[in-house]
Amino acid sequence: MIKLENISKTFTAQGVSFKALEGVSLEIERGDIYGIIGFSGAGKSTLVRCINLLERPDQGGKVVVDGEELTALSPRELRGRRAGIGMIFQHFNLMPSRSILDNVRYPLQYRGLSKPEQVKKALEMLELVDLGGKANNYPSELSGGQKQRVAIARALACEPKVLLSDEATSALDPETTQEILELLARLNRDLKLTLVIITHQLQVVKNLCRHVAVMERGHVVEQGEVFEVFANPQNEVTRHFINAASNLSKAEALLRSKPDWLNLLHGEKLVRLTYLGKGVSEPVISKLTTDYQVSINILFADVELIGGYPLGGTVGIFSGAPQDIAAALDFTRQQNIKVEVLYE
Amino acid sequence: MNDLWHSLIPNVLNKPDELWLSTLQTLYMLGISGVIAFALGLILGVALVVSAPRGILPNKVFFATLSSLINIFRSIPFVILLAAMIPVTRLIVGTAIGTTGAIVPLVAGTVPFFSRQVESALSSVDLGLVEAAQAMGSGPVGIIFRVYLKESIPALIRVTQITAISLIGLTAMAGAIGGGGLGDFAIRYGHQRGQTDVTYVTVLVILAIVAVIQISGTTVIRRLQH
Repeated sequence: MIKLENISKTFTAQGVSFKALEGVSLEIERGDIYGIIGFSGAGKSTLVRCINLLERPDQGGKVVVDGEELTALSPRELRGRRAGIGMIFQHFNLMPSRSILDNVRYPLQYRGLSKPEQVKKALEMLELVDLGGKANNYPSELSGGQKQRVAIARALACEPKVLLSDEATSALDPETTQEILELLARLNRDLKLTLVIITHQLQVVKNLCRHVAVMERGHVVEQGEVFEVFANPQNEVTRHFINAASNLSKAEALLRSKPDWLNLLHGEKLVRLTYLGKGVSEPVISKLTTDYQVSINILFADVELIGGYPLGGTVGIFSGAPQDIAAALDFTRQQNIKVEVLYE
Repeated sequence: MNDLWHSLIPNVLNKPDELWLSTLQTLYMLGISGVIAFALGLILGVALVVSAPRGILPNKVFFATLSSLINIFRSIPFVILLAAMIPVTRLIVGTAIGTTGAIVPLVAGTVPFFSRQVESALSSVDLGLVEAAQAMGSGPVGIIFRVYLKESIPALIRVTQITAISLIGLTAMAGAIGGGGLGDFAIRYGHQRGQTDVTYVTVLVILAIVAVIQISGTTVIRRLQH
């Protein structure tokens, strides 16, 4: 559905040039929910703006959306195609002087529809986001979540196949964020809408996306299925992201700030187990205690649904005879569980 | 009652026709030069915003040239502009005196100021709106009319008010080149012949015109704002 080939973008200000993107290539399937995550300044907003060419990539980059090479179109043709790519923003960008209805009508005025047709379509879109009753209000009278839903209605008015979301939930509280994510998931399901989600919130990727690309300094450093990337992060930045959000990294943080907090006895090990498989069926921990005579003092445990699969782990102190612990850890590794000895 | 007025403003009451005529002349200068300056200033203000480095059609040379031309014209004191413009005025309207002769320098004195005001009004439009409009398929013309101008109507009314009021001040000065109007009236009688009551009444009339501009502008803004 979306194909980015060798996208670079250089900004020049006062003679100093800065590469926001360097040779990024991505492919996004029709109907997918594709997350692009990274810290601020990683280039993700620039990248998403290259999809509808709000930013034109440097020479040599190619953007193909729905089988059409956008980078080869004239400005006029491009404006026509943009209607097929909806976009929503962190700060909603609704027009304050227009009513909610007129905001949603804005893109329809380029579609050659009569005014009653535009109004009908706009009202339909507002119904779709459950805001039919607010047609005659003004943006200033709405809450943040409602504004974002109006923005979604506006972005979908021209029935695009792709919706680009640039930090659309970053200005919202957690509860409203969840509402918007559910709405986006529903639109993806019901309208077969391809979603490209730019975010720095791990939660958004975890709850919504199927594929993810991790960006740092203008490069995509890791990409793949959300579960795979999160279960087995290859890159430093990815790990950083996951650790910052996970309960299981608390043990490390505690160790760093209070090294003697554990009070490990001789032979005891602090171990983190991360379940890599798409499903945790074996009762591994009880097996370790019964079959290997290792006693485990569980300090932290966490399970989350990521990309629809449970991902979790346990941090605990293993104690027992050294050969028993070694055998127990070997057994655990064979169960598709990542074993990290944090301290011994 | 009549006696009271006659003792308060004797010199005004013996030439009411002239006061009326002067008021009309002022309104004439204000109206004609105001409309022309509004149109030109709006065009130049839009041109500035659009061609600015972060505008939708950035053009360094055009922006720098226009910007410095405006600065040069803005820095010429109006009284000097009045004298300096005489040949140009003659060329354009055929005469350099009278209310019609005053219109050319009035426009020239107002446009630079107003275009800067328009520029600042349009610049206060959130660039996010421009970006959203682009993402929805708006081209430069659509963005100028449907985003920049439409979204800054209250601000544009406000700067128009300010400019119109300063334009009244300029029409008074234009009286100096025989432009007529209330300024000329006050100088000739109030100042040169010591008829102080004429000065005061003139001030009151001008105050009334200013009040009308203020109140109508503010009412419209209040209706439009959400």
